[in-house]
Amino acid sequence: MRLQHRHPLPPPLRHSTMAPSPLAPEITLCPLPQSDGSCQYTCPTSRTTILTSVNGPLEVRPKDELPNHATIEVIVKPGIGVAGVRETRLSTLIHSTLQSLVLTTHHPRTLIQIVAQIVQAEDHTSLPLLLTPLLNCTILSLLIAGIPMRTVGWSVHLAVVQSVKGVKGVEGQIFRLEKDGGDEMETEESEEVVVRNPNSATLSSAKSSHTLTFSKEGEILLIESLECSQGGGGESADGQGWDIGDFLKLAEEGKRICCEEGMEVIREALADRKVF
Amino acid sequence: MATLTRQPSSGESQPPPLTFSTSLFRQISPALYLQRHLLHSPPTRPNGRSPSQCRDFTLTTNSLSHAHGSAVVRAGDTAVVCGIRGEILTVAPGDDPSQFESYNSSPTSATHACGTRGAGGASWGGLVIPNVELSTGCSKKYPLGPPGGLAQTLSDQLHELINVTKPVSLASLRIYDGDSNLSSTTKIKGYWCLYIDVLCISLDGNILDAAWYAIVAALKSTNLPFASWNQTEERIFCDGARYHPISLRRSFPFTTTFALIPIPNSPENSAGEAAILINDPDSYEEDEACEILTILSTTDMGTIQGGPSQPPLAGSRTRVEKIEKRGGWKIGISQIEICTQLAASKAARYTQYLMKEQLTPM
Repeated sequence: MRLQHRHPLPPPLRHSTMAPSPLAPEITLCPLPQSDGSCQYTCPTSRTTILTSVNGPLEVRPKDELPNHATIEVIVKPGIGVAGVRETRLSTLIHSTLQSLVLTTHHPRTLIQIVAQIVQAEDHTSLPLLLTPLLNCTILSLLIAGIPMRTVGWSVHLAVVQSVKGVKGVEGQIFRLEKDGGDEMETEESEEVVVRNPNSATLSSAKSSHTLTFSKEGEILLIESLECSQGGGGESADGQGWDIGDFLKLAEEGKRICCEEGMEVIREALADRKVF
Repeated sequence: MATLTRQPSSGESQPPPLTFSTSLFRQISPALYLQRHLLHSPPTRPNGRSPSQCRDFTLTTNSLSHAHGSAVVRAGDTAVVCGIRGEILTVAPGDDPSQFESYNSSPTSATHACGTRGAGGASWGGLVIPNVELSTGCSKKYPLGPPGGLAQTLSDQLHELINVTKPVSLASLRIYDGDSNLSSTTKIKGYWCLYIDVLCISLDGNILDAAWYAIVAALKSTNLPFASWNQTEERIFCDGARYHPISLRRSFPFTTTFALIPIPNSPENSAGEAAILINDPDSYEEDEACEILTILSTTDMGTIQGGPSQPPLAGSRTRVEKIEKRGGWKIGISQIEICTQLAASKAARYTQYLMKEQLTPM
């Protein structure tokens, strides 16, 4: 899989150099000293900020006790108002992802509690904008808390935009996927481009949004891909959607970002801690 | 695990193993029971279906007389009723009508965007609002009380599906001042707001597919009364005798759900398969599944009209509008591709049923 970057990426991502990559998230570890593990994560481009705290293994309520597994509880607290249906959905998605990452058999009949607070977001109701920061932040705080995990995962949010015009992004944020049919000219403005971790404005002009989560080994942990173009519906919506071949290419690219760049971010963030 | 082996042991010195009746085995060790079935050759599920086979379903439309459109869908032991009721939303003089006419428009606060009928419901949730209720006693697992995690997740998923698929032309829901001169936006006096209520009567797995199919069928059968603004009374009046269908998409996408059943390494597992993917899981299988994959896709209408009894050809155009995969880590990219093809053939079957149902006189 070869890529044609509009702006070439700096060759390998090295966070140890003085200038941090514009795509690297801002991570603060252990901002909450009382919890077993906590993390604050800010998405570099959409500025979504999440604060998570992990406590566990704790004593579990008898109702939730599982005889040979630890119970994982995920609570998502919204930035505005009280938790509603959207927050419940977010926590179910995070819960099902963590269920396959955390080695729950190591602490049977206990509780691992994860509380995620949305601190800042452009759009508090948008599931795709919130899911990636929530997942990444949760995984980092689980590592800090020393919860035994099978492997680690990383999540990336990709938006497919019809035209590169009007999309502002930092270096390396916008790229295009190689098409099967020969070389496309760089000058063609109508070609679809992919924007990494888009912000709310970019997402509203996007055709489709893909939240992809991969483990270190390249296994697919979570896919949440949806058509998100605007429109009045009815017959104008006929023929929307994407071809499965395009999605598979996008998934390959997402896998590369998660497995290489994501893991590098985790390694850098936890460099001085003996958790690996 | 050895005590659960059903075959008689060969060694004479060992005590005879415990034996159970099939129904007891099913109850006490569901995981093993399911694995034994799937490792059988050919693989057969406890309910008699092959892994890629979905349940037969029945569809009845317009069975509720008080709703503007309704559908009852039954797939196996999952039964869902969907009713659609149009309510009139009056546009205040200062309102900008364009805010109502887009799916995916961003509402202002979290509580208003949930698709439930909270305060402000219609004006913030859009013009097409789904709600799901899992009725008391539909399943043993979901007790009485306020909507639990499943009902809330499902409600949000359906709201998302409506935003993704944009089934109804929102511009066709306008109510104008007078019958003539339909072009001016200043003459918009109100909107039809479609409340979609889904009630699950019986739940035996894969509620999302059944609920979405019921919604699509109900939308197709919806007839709204002609409504117009009465200038003398300054109110919107409906004509009780004349009804019109609503303007919808021509090609509807349908969801198809798959579940992945993990198979541990064991001597019986000679093929060395790690997991088996099954189509349209029932609740017994859902409990054991580690991974759920949902694909929302459309098939080209041309293929269906060409040959109603044939599955869609490999070259037919399938557009995917949503993929959701959660839990687990065993589904690979190649399996998603296979599932998309299965989903396309199921969507084609759904469409055929829907067309057949529309042809029968009410």
